[in-house]
Amino acid sequence: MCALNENTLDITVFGPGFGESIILNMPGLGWGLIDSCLSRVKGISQNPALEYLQKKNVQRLAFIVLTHPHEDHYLGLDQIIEQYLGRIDRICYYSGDGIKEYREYLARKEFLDPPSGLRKFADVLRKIAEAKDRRANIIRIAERTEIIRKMKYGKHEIEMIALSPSAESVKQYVELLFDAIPKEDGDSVKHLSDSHHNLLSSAIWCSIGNLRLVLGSDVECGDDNQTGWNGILNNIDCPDLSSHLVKVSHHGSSNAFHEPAWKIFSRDARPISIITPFTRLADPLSRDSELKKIAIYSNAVAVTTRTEFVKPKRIYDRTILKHFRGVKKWQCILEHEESGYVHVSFSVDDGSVINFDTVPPAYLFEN
Amino acid sequence: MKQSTLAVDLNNLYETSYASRLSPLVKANDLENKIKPSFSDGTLPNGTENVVIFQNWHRESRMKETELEWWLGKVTELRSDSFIAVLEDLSGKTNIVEFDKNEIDPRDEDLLFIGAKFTYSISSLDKPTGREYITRLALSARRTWLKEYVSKAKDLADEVLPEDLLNL
Repeated sequence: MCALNENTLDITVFGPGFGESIILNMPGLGWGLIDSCLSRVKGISQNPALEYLQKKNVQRLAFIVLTHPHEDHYLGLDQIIEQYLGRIDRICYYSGDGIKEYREYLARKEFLDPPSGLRKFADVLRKIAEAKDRRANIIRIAERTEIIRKMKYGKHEIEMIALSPSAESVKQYVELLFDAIPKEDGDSVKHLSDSHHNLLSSAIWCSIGNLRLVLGSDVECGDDNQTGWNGILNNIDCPDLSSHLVKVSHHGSSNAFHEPAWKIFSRDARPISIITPFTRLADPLSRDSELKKIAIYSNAVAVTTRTEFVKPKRIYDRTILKHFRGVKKWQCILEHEESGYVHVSFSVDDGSVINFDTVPPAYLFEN
Repeated sequence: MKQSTLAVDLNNLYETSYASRLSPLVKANDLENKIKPSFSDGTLPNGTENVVIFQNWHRESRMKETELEWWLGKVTELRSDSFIAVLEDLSGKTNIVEFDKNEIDPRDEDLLFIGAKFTYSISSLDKPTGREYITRLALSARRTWLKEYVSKAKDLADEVLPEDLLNL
């Protein structure tokens, strides 16, 4: 197994353009994983986090967290759990109010308009059940959940808590789900947007010695003072969010840029900010306008992949191109030769950066 | 010859002489419809038992359609005169495409919404008169809920994601 430096925390963030995954190596505690994603390299699907863990010869996972039951956060998680069955200490995921409605929604959607994600989500839950049988502790995530109990692990005190979802977010999500489920003759499945699903998203706060991290998952600003970042900041028990590193929430979207939160993140010193893009949009996330805003509050902004498009003539032959009909604009997402990542090593004594790498196509944003 | 006799003969014809030249989608009933008996009561004139009049169906059977490329699309954004979709081809390549809304038949407008699925395909069609290309955008029908589906959806949920997996 890779030796742990007892004063160093390593964080590696993958975000190939659809989904994200974070690997932490904490002194005294060990390795942990937050979310999972798949990437396509040279036409082949890969699990970048699993490959990284195997390359580092990681034998045991202290924790796995699924921040919310959204496909771009759990794809490939079943593979990782399978690989570490019997060697996972904690699995933390959302299983509270609304989970039965979510199952009902997916089942009826699967019936009327497949694929709904029901099968993939079931694969993940089945693996979590297997891991539980092999002695993994199961933790139900919500606002104020203690993922890692505050105590000394080796030389340093570690604490990891979920900052969301708030009770109000869950209530709103359940109402939306209930409304979206077809019930009467003639109903169709109502579309729930990403923002709706993000109501369940868990931002995570982590303190290790003198180092603090905020890992924002897909939390958005919130429509009222009890949801999203509004809700987190209004929570009377919210910990000190000034941070050395921020995994920017929701791919750096404008919906998730919460200026009061950024003022707090950067209060003591400007953090390193890491963004995982979302490329499957006409105007992909994150956009330059948002990156510039984030850069104001950051010491450095690293992006886990470069979103590049190629013209269809590089992919499809002339006969095909000649017969595109009704097309105003056609862009092909470029598949990169490698699955990149951003890696940062911190000293947990003083929060200083020991090492900071971007492995292409990950890159540093220059304002 | 009575109409019933004619039908038997046609089935024989279909099964023996022409089966290999027909698209599998052409059914015997379609075949009958393409053959018009001489009299409106469905009978043929005396002495013409062996005469069957084909209206070009043998010609159509020589058409061959070949799919050149195929994408599965999902609508992600609606604009005033266009819509954006993510399209994935059979090799898994992902494309972001903006389509003109005029491409959608007005009768299908209710099928165009965020999250709507569709196929987009380009085929070549070899006909006796030459080769044509066909581009199709087919929006998935919006299946609606019926109360009788409740038990079927429950069976599906129980099979794929049993309730005990929600309470680990």
